[in-house]
Amino acid sequence: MSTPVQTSTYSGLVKETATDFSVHASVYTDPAIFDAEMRNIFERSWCYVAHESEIEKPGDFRTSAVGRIPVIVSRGDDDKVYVNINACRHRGTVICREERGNVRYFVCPYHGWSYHRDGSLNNITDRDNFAEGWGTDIKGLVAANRVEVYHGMIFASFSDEVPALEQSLGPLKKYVDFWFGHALDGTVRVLKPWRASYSGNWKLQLENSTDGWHARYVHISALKTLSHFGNYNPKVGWTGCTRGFSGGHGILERPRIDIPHDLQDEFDEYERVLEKHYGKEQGKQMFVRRHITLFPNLQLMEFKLRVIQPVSVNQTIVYEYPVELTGTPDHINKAIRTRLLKEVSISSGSPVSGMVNADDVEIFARSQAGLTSGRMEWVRLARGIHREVAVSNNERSGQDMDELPQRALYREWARRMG
Amino acid sequence: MGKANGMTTPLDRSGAEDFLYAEARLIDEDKLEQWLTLFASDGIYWIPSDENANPVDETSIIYDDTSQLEKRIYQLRNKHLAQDPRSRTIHFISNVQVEAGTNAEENIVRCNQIIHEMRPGDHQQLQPGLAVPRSFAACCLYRLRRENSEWRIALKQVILINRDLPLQNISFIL
Repeated sequence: MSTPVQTSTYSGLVKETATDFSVHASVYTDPAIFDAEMRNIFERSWCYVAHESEIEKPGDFRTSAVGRIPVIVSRGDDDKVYVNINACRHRGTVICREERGNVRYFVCPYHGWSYHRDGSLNNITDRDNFAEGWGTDIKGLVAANRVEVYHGMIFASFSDEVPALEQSLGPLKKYVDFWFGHALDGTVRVLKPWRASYSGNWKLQLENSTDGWHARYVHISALKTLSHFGNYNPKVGWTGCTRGFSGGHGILERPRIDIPHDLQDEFDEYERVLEKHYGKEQGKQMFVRRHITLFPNLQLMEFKLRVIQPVSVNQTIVYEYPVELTGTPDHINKAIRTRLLKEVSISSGSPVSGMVNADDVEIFARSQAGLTSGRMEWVRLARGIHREVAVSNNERSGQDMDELPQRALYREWARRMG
Repeated sequence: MGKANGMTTPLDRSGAEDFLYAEARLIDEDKLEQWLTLFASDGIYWIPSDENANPVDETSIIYDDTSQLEKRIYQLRNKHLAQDPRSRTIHFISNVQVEAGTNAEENIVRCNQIIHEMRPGDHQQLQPGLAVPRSFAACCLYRLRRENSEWRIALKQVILINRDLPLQNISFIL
């Protein structure tokens, strides 16, 4: 663990001047800071917990988490989405073990207490053996304070104070809408995920997905391999931009250039389909490639959702859900899926074993190892800080390799940690 | 290796074992280019996360045809960070069973494997997971096809015991 820094507040662990930006190593390595993050950030934000396409019918459920709080996300008989803590009100026993399924009732295996599909109490067993009037305070599982659904994404919060979801997104909303505009009817279906774990802090993945600088180094072997086999000509001198938002959100924006030759026709057609559907200008916006961070645990990536699940200060799970674009021609979906599932581009493959993402995950473990060494105190995130452009009070933009989304993340981190 | 004893001799258990041992040895000795020649031209190397899913439309841990395997091996030789340092492996194979195929030219072989793996680590061994032996237990299915009197892999499927759980760095050849 790093040497404790002389500061009385967590926000002192992020230092900013007009030309420099640093984050203290303990932010990645101190278990006490991790605990505070779970309370101050995860439990008081909108956390992504599931996608509606995973729970289509009444009684469908999936288990998930908000920080370290295990939750059941379910569809009630009224067709609404519910998020409840996955613990029986009796003795706290975890009720659901499966990743997903369908139930008539949620029944605790310990003493048989049962709950309806929406989490409300169905039955406390052996009622006769309790004092009269006992248990009337128990209405059901402990529900998340707030639940909202946007483009099929289900978000939950364990705070009453969090602003409405759209307000939390602020100017990011426009870009989230663009991303879902990839599907002609504005929504997606998620496939089963890749599931990867790594020995590093959760923020290392969050930083990396909008880092436009690392690819030419971390992914050099993937780029070299793809070039060698002539799938396409990867251009590393990319153009584009970065965006950072209040609320910790961020974007890496680039043209979609890594299309393998044999899928080029489908992607060209897809671009024309978008332009026809939305109009030329809007359609072009839709076709721009964006990696979008919805602070703190969701990233909209190249045709996949990336969900970050912190486990401990130095252990993280990443779930990646490829999406199927609804209302979009099958052969275009097929081309998109082929590019994701086969090792044919820098957008391909799994974080467990893929040519590209496995190298990122390795870097996270490698960074964690270096940060844990103790005396390398300050992580530097200053690239391009001198040329950040304020688009509005809530949005800044910069060049595509600038560490601008990372700074937005840590400005919000400092604000939330206090 | 994998030589059939005459055109009509069916694959028996001992023949299957010879084939599997030799295949595993090529991986363990890092003779991956030679290992790749064991595959039929339409051969598939599949590490499913759900062995009942359609691998063309759903996610797998790995689903490689031979051209993808060729890329994977090339990357292993060219500074693949997830394989710096490279994994060392030792395969143990047991419970070998040969299922009669529809004809003498194709057979299903099932076996269990324990694959011990370790990346040797840096000098200070700082990074968690490095220099720590891991073991992967798997139920494997091989579809072997006779081509020009040699057995070739039409499908190698490695069904890991923890295939549907979060996994850490499987960027080596199993």
